Amino acid sequence: MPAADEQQLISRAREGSHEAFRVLVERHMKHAYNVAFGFVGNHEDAADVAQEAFVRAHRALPSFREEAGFGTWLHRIVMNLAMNRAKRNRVRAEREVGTGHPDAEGTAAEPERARGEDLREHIERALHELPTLQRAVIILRHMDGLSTKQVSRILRCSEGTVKTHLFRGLKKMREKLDYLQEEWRERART
Amino acid sequence: MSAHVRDMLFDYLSGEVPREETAPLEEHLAQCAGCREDLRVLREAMDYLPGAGTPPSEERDNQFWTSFPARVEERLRAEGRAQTSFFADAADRITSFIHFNGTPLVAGSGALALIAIALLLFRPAPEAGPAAPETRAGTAITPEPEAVKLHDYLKRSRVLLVGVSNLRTGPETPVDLSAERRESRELVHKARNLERNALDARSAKLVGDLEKILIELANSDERHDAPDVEIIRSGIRHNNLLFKIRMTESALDAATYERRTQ
Repeated sequence: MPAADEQQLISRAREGSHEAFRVLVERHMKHAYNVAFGFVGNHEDAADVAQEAFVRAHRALPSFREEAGFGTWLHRIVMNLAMNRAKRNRVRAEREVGTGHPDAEGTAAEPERARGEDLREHIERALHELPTLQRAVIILRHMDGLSTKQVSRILRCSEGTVKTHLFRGLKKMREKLDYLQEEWRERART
Repeated sequence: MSAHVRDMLFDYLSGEVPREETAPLEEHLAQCAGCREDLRVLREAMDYLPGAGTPPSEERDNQFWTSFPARVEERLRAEGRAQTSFFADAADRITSFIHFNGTPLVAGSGALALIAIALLLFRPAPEAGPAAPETRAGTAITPEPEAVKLHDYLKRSRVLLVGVSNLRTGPETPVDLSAERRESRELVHKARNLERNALDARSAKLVGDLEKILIELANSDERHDAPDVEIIRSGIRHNNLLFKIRMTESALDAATYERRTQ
């Protein structure tokens, strides 16, 4: 997308053009959605977070400095909102389940399906237990397919830092999954 | 194992290492058991995680995407931002300009002029007796105890918002908003204790607008990021909150003065 064209749209949106802002939404909505989904893990919240991010971007347009690029700036807003939503969901889930291990029930009745769901839950759990920066880097770089440079702009850190956190995060994910898988096998045996 | 090689492993597995760097990397991997082990762990982790190949956005149908911009606009309208009238918009722009873009002299004289106009507008009508302290503009009809509470609430909110507006932010500047978040929570609580029914429409609207910003600030993340601060600041500017607070404070002062002299 030509940068000049995008700048024009931003200027017009700042001046109050709804049409220009609508074009910006159309251009960035899928990307915003995918980033949000990476953090929240479900379609309903991803849609809500992506829409809210555009509302906030619209509100903050007058203070937007164009050095970062609209997409990068929007990514940052989506990421902040999505991380907050994911945190809130996790707290709520923990409260509802109580001591609740996600796979405390139901594995015996449908072993195959349970195993698939189990693994997915394990992955989500392992991902959410990572430090924020490592989680953000894994989602943006690996799951959303952004380049190292794009991720470094969004997170405002060097490319070297992105690579280091990516490596550490993925390594930690693998260790956590090993542990959780072992735990799952142990429970299946008993 | 060098950190440089370790940092290249993800790119290598994703096929993003330039061709001229691939051969030396593979040579190193053939000789270094530690790096091979890291490569294996990384590959397994990447296999587990859903990759970039299947974006979740593709799981939504066309109808969802065609209606997406309309749903964003609906939210904007619900916030009252997309439907501001021409005159309200123009007034907002002028007052924003005076407060945020003008030189201190222009801002000072502009503010003084506006306060003078407000004092004239909000002066109680001379025929109104002490038993019926109604005014033409309605701002000063607030019963006294409620006016005191409102005055205190507005003053504390103003100090807080000025602080947030002047906060230094930047990529290298850590932003600690813990004190601001605490104060916001207290003010949100205070706002809920204000008898809104006893306030005039303008003050009640201001308290409502302020509450939204204060809730946003109170619920902000511990590790506050500069864009979040920018969003809060733009909310303050967009709604002209500092200007409206000052105007309401002036009107309340004028009403108190009138009561004392009667």
